[in-house]
Amino acid sequence: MLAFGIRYLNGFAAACEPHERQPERERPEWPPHPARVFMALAAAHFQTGEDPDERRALEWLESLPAPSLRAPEHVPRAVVTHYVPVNDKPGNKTKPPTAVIQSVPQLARDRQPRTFARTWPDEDVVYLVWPEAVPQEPVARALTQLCAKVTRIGHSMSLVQMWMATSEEAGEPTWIPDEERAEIHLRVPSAGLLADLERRYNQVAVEAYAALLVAAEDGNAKTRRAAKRRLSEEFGGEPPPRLRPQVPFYQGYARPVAAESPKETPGTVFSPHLVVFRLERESGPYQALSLRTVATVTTRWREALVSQCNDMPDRVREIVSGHHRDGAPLEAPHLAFLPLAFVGHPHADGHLLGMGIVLPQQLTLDERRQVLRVLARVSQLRLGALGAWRLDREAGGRPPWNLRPEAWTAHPDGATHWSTVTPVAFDRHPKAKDRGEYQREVAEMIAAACAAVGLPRPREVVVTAVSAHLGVPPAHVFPRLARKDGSERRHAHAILVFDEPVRGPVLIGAGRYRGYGVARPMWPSGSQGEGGKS
Amino acid sequence: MEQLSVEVLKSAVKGAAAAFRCRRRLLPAGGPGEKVFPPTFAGAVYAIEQRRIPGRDGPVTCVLLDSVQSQANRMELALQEAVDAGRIRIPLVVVDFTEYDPTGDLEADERAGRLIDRVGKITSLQVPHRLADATLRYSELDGVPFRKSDKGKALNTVSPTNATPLFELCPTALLFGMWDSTGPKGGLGAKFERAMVSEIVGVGVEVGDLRRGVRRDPLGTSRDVTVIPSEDRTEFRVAEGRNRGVRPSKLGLASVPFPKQTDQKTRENYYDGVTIEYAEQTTTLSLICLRRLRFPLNGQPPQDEVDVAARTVLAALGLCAATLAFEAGADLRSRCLLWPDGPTVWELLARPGAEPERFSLTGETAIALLKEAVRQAKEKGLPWPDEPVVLKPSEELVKLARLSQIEAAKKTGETGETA
Repeated sequence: MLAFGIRYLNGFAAACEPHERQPERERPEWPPHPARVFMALAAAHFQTGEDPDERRALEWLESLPAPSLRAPEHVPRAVVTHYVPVNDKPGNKTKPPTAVIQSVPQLARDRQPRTFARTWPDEDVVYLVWPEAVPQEPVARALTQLCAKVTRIGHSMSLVQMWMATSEEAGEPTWIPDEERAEIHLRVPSAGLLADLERRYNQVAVEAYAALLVAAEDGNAKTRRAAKRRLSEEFGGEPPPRLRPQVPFYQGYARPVAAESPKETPGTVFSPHLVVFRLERESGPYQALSLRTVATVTTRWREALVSQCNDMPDRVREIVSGHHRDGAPLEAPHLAFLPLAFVGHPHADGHLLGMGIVLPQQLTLDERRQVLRVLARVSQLRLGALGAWRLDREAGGRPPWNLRPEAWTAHPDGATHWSTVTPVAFDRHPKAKDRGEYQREVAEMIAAACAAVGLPRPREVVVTAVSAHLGVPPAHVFPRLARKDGSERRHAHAILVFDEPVRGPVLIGAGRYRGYGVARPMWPSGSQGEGGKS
Repeated sequence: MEQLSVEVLKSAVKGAAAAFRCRRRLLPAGGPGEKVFPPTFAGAVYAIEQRRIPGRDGPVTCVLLDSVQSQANRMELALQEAVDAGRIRIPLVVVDFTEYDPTGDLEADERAGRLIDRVGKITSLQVPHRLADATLRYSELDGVPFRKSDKGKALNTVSPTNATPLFELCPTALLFGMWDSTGPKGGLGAKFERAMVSEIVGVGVEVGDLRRGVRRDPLGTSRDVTVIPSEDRTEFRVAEGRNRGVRPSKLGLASVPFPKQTDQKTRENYYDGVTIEYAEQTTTLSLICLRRLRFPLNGQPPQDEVDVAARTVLAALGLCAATLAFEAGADLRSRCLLWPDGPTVWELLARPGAEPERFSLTGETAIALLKEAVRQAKEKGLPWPDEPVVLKPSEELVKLARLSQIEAAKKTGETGETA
């Protein structure tokens, strides 16, 4: 077994989630991503003489599977905007220095806003554990040596002490790698990361360039000329590229399953572990997409996915497309879309925050991985008049309540009361002429639709024009789905009441693979602390 | 409790211990329950946050009372005061503006290009970017721009593996961090991470009464009666007839209004201070960071015993800065004076689980510790100049400072605020 212990010496951790956008950069990273810890070890190696044994140890470490973590719970710290002295630029002949004088009491200087994402862990120690890995000498010695040289994980104020820990010390993990049940996604190292970090940092070239820069300004005329010539010949007068490290691999992590697993809540044929994507506007006239556009979004997204899975095995193509190779519709459950909208709040307006991709419960791990690979290939949707939208995989952290799978699936405890967020499209045209009879017929149809996705028969089905969730548009506002023959399917909202709690995702009716007939638990008011946020 | 000795310090630096850490409890000087005023951040907000504390149900409301950056400045200030008082001698770079200080004769000052307000001497302990600061860059050593002088040039080759030049010129940069982003190498310049982190957090916060006005004018001056100030703002007359004046608040008259929303806390009405149960200050000096620094001498490869001697000096300097700052008192800002709840104890953090060794340290002992560590370092041949390197500001820098002061004075006049 291999385990690293990390103690945060100030009681807080300062590191932000790597992201291009500001809101995410204000979110502290917790637990520390294994790749961040690896990079701290790599920095210790490169900054202290590059011992070859250390390098071999790091190359061994990066080839290991993702570690388990034992990380305490945490409370993110307040993010406030600090003003820090600007990084003054030296300027040149044509452009004067931007900020020359300093904020000693008598002289004022510009300051720039900056934020620091930090968090208070409940305890100050975190462990990373590789249960199967056994480092041999001299790897173990090199790792011990490297750990002792790690100064910080994250920002320079995030001082740590790191060491090789024993299994007794590390104890039971709180997060284990598990793509299937993943609740959070953490960056992990993979083979070749060390070499990639070295290439991106580009130290040799950077130092050579810097030395020439100094020589070009200094010394006698001859050395200056020589340095200038080399600068333009070897570097084209441009500083050598130096890139920020990028870790492409995210590993899903889940809480370990308790030894005595509680009674299984009845659920649907769909897996409660949604793959969540945020929808981010790239261009177009609308700031946000309404729930009414669900069919347009899902149709376009599905086409894009189908076009991207030609190299995949038949089974994966069937799951993505929902059709057999010969074009006949697949009877078994397949990939479905679950619109994640801002609903259930007094200010909710029903706009789409993102989309959850729902996969069937019965998938092998391999199939799930391959489907995830297909999903990763589509990163943008062009929706014509609705504009272009970027798809960002929601990875780790604590997203808003409406982007969390449990808000929609009630996993694992289940819920008895559900109401639709998109109307249930009818399987067939109701025949009843009488209004009461019509309601009964539709209710019966919806009850049957529940059974079709593996749910118990609901005790009650209320067919209604409006949803019980605040912010959801009434049923008549949604465009009707079309049958193959061109005729339109009728649809209605519904409230479902079950005798016992059931878990979602609840997708029912004829449009269940296209984002219609999506029901969401009716959370008792006040039961969800964060239900108030979008 | 044992006083920290130079032997203990040296063996800690040499050994595997992670850090010296001091965690102390502070109470408002007016006693528990007395209001304190936390710093406000952009948008006039306090950094109010939740934290779980062992032994308590649910998260406890906390507030940031002094940030990491501010604490670093306070420690440097404490060192500066000790230097000024002749209590310690440390390598310093000083920019001497005294010959440009105003004499009081405005016309003569203007002719001579002297400053409007006195600047005096600015040291590498006061400027924000430490040794890499622009104020130093635009100053001269014996008529040569600082970064082109022999001492300044040494900065071009410093790195954690060659920290000797920085040890000689500005050892505090090795403790509090520095990035030479403006030297000839630009962003590729030397980077040192901080080894000291300190912060003060108030625990058990109650936000103050929100219904109080910020300033009540006894005259009851109305905003609807306008005034016309004289040019120099020493007098005014009430605007009458067609003349439209400015609101009297421009002259500092009239009440400052109540917050608009008083029934709940908003981002706008956090002005009124908070009460806290106690404040907690955590100061950490990472020995791991110091161990990354190497100190080669005279172009030779670094030697272990020289490295240990130099790191011991830096550790002693860090402890000295923190202890002197503690003794200067935590008078953080107006109406935020805190007082320690007990003696100051430093823990030497070895491996987690192991009981840390504990030491007491007073300002005097810390200074003695630094002196002894410096003596031993000098014996090993490490440079520790007792006299500061004195730079003269370049002509253009003086001119810039002078014009900036004039601009600042104009702005003060316009807004009626004090700078």
